[in-house]
Amino acid sequence: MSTLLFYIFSLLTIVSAIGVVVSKTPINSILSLIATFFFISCHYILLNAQFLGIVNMIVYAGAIMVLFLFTIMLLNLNKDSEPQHNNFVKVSAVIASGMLLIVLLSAFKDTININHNTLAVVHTNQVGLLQNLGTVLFTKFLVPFEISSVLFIAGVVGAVVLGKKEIGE
Amino acid sequence: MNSIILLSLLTVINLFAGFSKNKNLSFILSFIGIAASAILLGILWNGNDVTNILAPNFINHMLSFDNTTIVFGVLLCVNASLIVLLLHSHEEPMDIPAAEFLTLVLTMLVGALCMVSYTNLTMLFLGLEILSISAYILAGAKKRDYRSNEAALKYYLMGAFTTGVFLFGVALIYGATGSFDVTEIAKYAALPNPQSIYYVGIILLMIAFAFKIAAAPFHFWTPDVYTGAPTLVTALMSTLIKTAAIVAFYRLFNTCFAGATNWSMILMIMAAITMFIGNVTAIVQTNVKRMLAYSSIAHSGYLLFALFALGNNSGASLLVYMAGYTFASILAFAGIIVVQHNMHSNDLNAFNGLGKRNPILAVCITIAMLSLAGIPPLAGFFGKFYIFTNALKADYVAISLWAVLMSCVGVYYYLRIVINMFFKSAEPDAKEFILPASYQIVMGICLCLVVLLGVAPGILSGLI
Amino acid sequence: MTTYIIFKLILVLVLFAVTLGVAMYATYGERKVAAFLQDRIGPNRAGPFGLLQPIADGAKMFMKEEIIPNVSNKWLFILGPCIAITTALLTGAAIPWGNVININGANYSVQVADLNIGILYIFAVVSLGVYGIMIGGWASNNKYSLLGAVRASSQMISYELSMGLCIIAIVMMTGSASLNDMALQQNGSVWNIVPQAFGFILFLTCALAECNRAPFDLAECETELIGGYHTEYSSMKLGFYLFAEYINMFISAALISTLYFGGYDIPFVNDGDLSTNLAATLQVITMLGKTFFFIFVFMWIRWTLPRFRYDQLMKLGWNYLLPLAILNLVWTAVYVMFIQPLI
Repeated sequence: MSTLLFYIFSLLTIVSAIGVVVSKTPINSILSLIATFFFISCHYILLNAQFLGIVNMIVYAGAIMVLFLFTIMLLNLNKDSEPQHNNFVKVSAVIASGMLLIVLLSAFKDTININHNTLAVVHTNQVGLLQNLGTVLFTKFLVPFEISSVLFIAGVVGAVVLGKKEIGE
Repeated sequence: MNSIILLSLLTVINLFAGFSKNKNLSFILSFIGIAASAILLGILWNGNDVTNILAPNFINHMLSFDNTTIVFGVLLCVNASLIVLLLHSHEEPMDIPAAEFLTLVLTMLVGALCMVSYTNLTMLFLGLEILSISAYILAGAKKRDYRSNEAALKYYLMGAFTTGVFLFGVALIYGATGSFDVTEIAKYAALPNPQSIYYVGIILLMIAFAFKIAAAPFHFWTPDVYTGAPTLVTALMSTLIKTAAIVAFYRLFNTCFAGATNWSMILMIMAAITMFIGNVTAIVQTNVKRMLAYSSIAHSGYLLFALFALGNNSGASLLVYMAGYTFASILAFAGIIVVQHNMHSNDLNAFNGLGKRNPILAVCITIAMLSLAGIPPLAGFFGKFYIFTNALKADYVAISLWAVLMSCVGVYYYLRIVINMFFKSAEPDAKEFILPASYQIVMGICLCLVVLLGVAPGILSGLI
Repeated sequence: MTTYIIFKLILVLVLFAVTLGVAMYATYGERKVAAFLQDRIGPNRAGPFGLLQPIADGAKMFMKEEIIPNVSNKWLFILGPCIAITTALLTGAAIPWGNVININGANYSVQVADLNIGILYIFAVVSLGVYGIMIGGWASNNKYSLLGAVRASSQMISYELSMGLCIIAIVMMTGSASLNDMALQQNGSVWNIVPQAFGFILFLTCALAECNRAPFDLAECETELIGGYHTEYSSMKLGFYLFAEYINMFISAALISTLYFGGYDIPFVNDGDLSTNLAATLQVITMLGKTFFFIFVFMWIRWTLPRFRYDQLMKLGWNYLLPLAILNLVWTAVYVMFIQPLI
């Protein structure tokens, strides 16, 4: 059952991710991106990491992508305003990403042979629950958790400083 | 850890200090804070950790303060405090208030300290992000200048993409090893047959770091960003960020991946390309800031030597090199700021006749350039000397010769500015330059250190 | 297991029907309340007391001509109301309507899904609901619609923050993010409204803004934007938007009852004394009673307070509600740490 769901969600994730890249209008790209995030959340829930799944949905699909959509809607971008790339760039991009694809594919093909017992992670169905997550966050990962506040301070200061209207503007 | 806590608290206090009528308050706070955190780092020397206020267990898995870390941490603190001093009498119009600017410098320092002391990849990632986000904002500090906006946006977009690459690398390494902890990863690396995703992870991490230290072929952002950003921020980027990134890079490869060195070939090629592109492109530049950007790329090439020729002395040679590079760069950028302020230009011609109008400034810039070029007996020479000797000891002969050749190319463009200063005449109506007090102090300190390290590099290399 | 699935399926269907029914009669209620507050009679022609009015309205909606503007993006134009109504209907799943029902000796929870992150689930689904409005407003290709959509979404994002902080305070009181735990924790002890009175006021304000209800109905204020984001909509697509709004109001009222007023807890009665099924029945009735009361409060506010200006709305959200919500969080921490052990 969960294997089947996994394949369904994976397929949907990949299809919508491809949709982000290939759609001509920015709005469709954004909507596909939202769908991608949504299906990634489904993956989290499938792993019984409900909290992560929901938070992923709230933060990415619910807040960040709304701002994206906002900007795109107000800018009213469409096909004509899309910058044109010359063929050289296109060809080199295709070659580069094709090589990356081959490397990643061959690397991931290797993982099929992993003996799952050697993995250090003991995956239980309790690992993603809110309580366990909180415990880990406030014991083992306390330092990164607290240090990330400095990251937010930097971000907040930056947003205020760069976004603030000066007198006379 | 205490120094990081102190600096983090200081960022918030500093913001409140911005409300004060006394403009010097936030400068004094930042300066004292940075000095105090350097002292707090210093007392940890040889593992004398007596002041841990948190349960040590939580920290030891995340951060460790060995002697290498402490020395580089103190270097970063000195670096930041010099920049703070320069900002104090900064006359280039900056659109963001000093308190906020200082806050961002402090957050940057916190990030840099995390990057030199991490023992867990999560801390490395957080440090890298704190450092980068502060840098993106500072690059755009001149809000009304399109160049500065362009620099911030370009840096941000490229940097965000690199963050993705970095995270992907970390995820793959986690997938292979099952841990973020460097010691666990090192254990895995020592196993006979690591999985392929582990190697892909290493390569992705390499790409991310190459971007941060501006090594080719991931250097394309550097000239535009260095030129567009306010000069003071450029100084910060080419010294503090580079030190933090290269040390993080070094720690990662020294502790985790030292066992299997099959990645060193990639780094070697990268170093060769970087030195070539940096030095050769710098020749044709007429903008001094842009020239120094390419020079900074070239220096990344030399720095990569310490990584692929990894040995017992790598840390020490990296330290001597970075110290020499940092102080010479700050000296050079301080000079550029003064010239820019008086001439309203970064062009090479703006330096014409500086030798007559302000000989002291001209001598300072000359010393900085000579040190960057690696002329003995200045600090830059010994940095290069240590690094090349190490490489030769490890039988990297061809690449060392190539590096020496490239250094010779470098001498050309570093001396060009010296020639302009002393052998070309200025415009007739030029007035005399005035050096603000804090510039005199900073340039004096840097000058002394560059000469001192050139005369006696052993005081640093003996530390680790 | 089969009984469990059948029970849950029936519950889903009943909840679906009740939600739609409540939404339908909320329109009737709104008009009656408005009439009451304005000293009028209100709808009284269709059926006794005008009770068939919503059905007549529904029929009218279905019969109307469906217009899709020529220049609009057709798919997105249809997708908008679909998302709005779907997300609105999804929220009801996590709300506990009663404790347990006993069928053949086995206990079944009167809640479609007792998620351990129930409150976050509702939060997430509501935040997805913004897309219905945004997509619809944009696809209409009408400046009024776009403005309405932009207003609605920025308003919802702004007030989500304060709302989230109020919810975190409740989570701190309960020690769990499950809505059923929140109801159980208040069951038989003091309701959250007592220590969280301040939080309740903040939450109510945010809920009004989240539902785009007056005095925060700037997304569709007729005086400025004609019909707001649904200007170009007609027929049942318009109906979906209106329905979604009333469903959101219903769920908000249910949420307020659960978070602050004991959920399905019957006041002055020890639920444990009653037999399981009787208790469950009474609990569902109590819960619905509380919910209807808060729907009434929503309407009461609508017909009492004038509409805010947009800058005032943003100022209220960011400059006042957010700091106050953080203050409330600090107070809750103090309460949980020092005061609660004394009680």
